[in-house]
Amino acid sequence: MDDKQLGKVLTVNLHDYKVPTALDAPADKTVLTVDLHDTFSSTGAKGVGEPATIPTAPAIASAVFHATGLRLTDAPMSPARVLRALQAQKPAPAGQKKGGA
Amino acid sequence: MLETFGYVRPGTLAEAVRLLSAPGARAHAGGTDLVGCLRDEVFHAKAVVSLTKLEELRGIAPTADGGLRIGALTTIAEIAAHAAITAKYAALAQAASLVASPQLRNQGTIGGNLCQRPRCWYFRGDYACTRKGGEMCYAIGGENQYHAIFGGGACWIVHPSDTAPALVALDATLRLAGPKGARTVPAGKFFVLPDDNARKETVLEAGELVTDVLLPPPVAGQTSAYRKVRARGSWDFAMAGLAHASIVKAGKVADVRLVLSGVAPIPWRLQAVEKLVIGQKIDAKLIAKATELAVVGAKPLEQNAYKVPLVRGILEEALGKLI
Repeated sequence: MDDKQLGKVLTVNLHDYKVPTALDAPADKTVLTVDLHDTFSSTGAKGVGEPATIPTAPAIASAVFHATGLRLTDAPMSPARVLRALQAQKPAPAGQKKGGA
Repeated sequence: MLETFGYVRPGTLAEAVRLLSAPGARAHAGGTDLVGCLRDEVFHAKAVVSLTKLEELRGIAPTADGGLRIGALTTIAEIAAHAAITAKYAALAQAASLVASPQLRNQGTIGGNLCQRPRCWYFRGDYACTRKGGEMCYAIGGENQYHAIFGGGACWIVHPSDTAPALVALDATLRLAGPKGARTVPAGKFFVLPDDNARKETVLEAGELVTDVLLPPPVAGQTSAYRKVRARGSWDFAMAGLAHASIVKAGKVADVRLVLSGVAPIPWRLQAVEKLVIGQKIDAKLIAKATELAVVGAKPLEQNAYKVPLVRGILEEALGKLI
């Protein structure tokens, strides 16, 4: 994060640049690995590191939508941002269901 | 780059006080904050006076009046795990267990936790802010999502300690030693608001240091707790927290002390709320009144207004548990 007055970076350490840790993940998650032969690589192998980062923010955004009915499009979706969006929200028309698919 | 500095490790408290009275001398206990401050050039040190040889400042022991004496060099981890503290002063044990990370709790001391410098990114960064002798607080009109909503003015830091609000709630006393001798200060009077002095966070004078934390004898029927809300589950400072020490008798609040962390430059006592609830039976109506009163006078900056409902929420939660 940059200071908007002088443009200097403010989050220069890991106190201020808050990378989530293992304690921020749900304790009861289930991991399913799917064995799938990749026909596009010479060995049939597929990378599993980077692909997992692509759907993460949309998954969290969908969870926020499911819980609140709000579509947040800026990451991180911090509690303060969710609260701000909730407070800015106009009352939903009667009968409209919040969230869910 | 760390500047060069002298290093001394005195064997007696008197010698430590003498060395700390010299200009540019800095006390070293656990060093977890000192090294960061020196690296970030928050301040400079001509001489680092290590207190680590002063065995008399270490350890937890009962006092003659039935309370507890915690030496200033006692680590945060020892306090979090101590049987008498977890049993009789739960707010302090809980606060200690929520400080920083396991490594920092093993290294950091209670004296250092009370005397640590604020974490404001302008104060820690390359800004000549009021707390460093400059002319403005950059948090006003800057990036202020973690800053104060109470007690601001010349500076809008929040006090970073978790143990401090617990000690204020438990009515602890701090023993200090300095060139003019020893003195005691109630924990609630140890911290300084920016409008009184924006350059320091505590009443410590040049050459003075905290030697002991004194807990009063446990009060019959008293319960205490500390709740910390932070942005992530590990190693984080409080966005807001609440320490309380309470006595409920026959359904009514006989006594309560409520102290917030993370929202003001000092541990922020909710005296008006205490007054409101003492003598009353806690019910939904009283809780609603209390949470409204708690945030009267709050002055959120542009990005930290979320702390207002957060304070109300943690107070509601704490009072609800007393029913």
